[in-house]
Amino acid sequence: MPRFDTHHHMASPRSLATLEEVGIVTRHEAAAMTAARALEDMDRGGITVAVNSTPAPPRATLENAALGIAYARDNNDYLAQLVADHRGRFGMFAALPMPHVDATLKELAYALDVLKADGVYLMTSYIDHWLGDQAFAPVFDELNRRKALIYTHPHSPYCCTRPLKEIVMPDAMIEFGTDTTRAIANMVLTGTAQRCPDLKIIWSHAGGTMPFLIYRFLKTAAIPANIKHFPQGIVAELKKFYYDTAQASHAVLLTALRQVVGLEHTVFGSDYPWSDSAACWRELQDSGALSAAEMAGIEHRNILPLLPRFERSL
Amino acid sequence: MARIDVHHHLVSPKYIPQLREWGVLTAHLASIMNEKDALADMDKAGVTLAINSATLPEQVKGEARRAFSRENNEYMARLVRDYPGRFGMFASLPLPDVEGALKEIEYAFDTLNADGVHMITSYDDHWLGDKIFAPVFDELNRRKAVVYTHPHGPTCTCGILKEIVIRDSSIEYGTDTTRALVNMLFGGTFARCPDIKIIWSHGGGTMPFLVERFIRMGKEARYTALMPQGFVAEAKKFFYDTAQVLHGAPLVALKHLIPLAQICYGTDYPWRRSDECVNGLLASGAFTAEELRAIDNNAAPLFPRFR
Repeated sequence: MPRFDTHHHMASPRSLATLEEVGIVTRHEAAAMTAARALEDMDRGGITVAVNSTPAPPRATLENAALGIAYARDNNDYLAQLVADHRGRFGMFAALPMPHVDATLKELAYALDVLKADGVYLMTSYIDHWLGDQAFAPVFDELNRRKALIYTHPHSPYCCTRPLKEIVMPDAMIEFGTDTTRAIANMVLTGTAQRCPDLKIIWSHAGGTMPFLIYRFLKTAAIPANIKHFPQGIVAELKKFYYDTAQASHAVLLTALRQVVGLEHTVFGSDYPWSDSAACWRELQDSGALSAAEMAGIEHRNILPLLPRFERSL
Repeated sequence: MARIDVHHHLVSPKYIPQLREWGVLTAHLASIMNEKDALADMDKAGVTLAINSATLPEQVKGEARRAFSRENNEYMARLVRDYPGRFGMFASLPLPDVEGALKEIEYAFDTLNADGVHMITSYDDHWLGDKIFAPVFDELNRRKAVVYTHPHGPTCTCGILKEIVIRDSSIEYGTDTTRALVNMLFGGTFARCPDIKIIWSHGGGTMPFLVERFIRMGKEARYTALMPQGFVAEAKKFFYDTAQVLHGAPLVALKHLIPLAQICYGTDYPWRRSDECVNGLLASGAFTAEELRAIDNNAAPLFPRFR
């Protein structure tokens, strides 16, 4: 059966040089981010299709619209080339020059109309403005109009970059998961999710820490000012989202995620090149938390309707 | 049957108007944050003993911290005396004032017979386990003290989601507990001070959901000496309370990771009623009746004077 990986990072050679320079990727990781190496890893892990997205851009690229536009365009053309060169093996989530809204609207039109991207990649926050922020409303409205698939990825938000100074620990350990949780909260509590019901959003890493904080979410949704956003309750809203398994294959996480939103919208993600796909798949199997039917859902059944170009080709 | 609440807040009446003014307490919370209402709430839910801790608002700064700690410690000690067997106390400390904290530890344990101390997960963006707190942890370790910890919205994240109605307690508190727990373990303070008995609030913040990351990190060569049996073996040495995690998802996750004997009943009074905790634990479906009875009393070994 086909196996899809929606959490798979690649970047153009030019961007890799920049990313390595600022320390977002190591030399070792950059070396692994080529089509040949990625395909080898996919073959070992039984991955049919990997939908590529770039790593988080450097801060200077976020802060400077011209740099952001160049980064997005360079990578989108590169990711589209990979799709064309390796038919049926790669998809793409287009990079966007956020938080620059006008440039983002232009790039998403190019990526979706000209490059036929499978969806777009958004970070959970941009300069301490989280997804769902009013400033981003035109972007979400346009993506909603297009019924777009949005793959999201957390990063070190400006507020909370390396807060623990005495220990050696990447922000991916605590701050990433938290930033996803903030973005989820912001999307539902600003009413953006409700206003844009045709968006299909994938949250990385099993929803950050949202499933563990669900009691707080239930209480927050019950505050009078928030009730209007949840005619069916907040859980119904959370169940509309998709959640990937990247760095989230432990039984504790999978069991909690199932209890909060079910596993019907859970999709496989490897986090290549930060992880290898064979090990990721094996860890899911070895977690002991998933039935064969749930594994099949995670492998392809849950994501396939969102990736029509591969639905046709398989 | 005993039911011990380790997550129970009362503050001296002297500070209630100030907490109102700062927006820490609503009028309703201010009206029930007193021993009479607390006892009525406890009686209704079958809580036999509550270990009090004062909330420490961000607004208490500098020298005022010493006065705040002392006033609340005297008040909590009075409650212990006035209602024998019903209240214990986690002493307030004027941290990050280390010298003041050392003095208050001595006074609280030696004069007031406190059951433990209450620490916030971070002070001015220094998390528990930070070098600046080393003398405090060494002293608490020497005394084999119980350390009850409570999260807050650290300065870096305070009120950060500006467009929505959400309290820092919803996301930022849990995260701050995780930062403190991770800093205590990976920074080496807990390995140096193994006799401290730490209670983490709210089911361990978000640690159980991020455990896969920490397991991997614990296997890095630089950390194996601190945790030769791995991260989870260390995390199992702590205690965790049930306040505000009354849902099957977090509770099953916690139970999966942590021995039942270290999961302690905690309510978060006056923010939550005690019967909400009893009913919420039952409704979560995470525990059998026998396990729930154990949770009620799991904190007992930490508080020998009430045996």
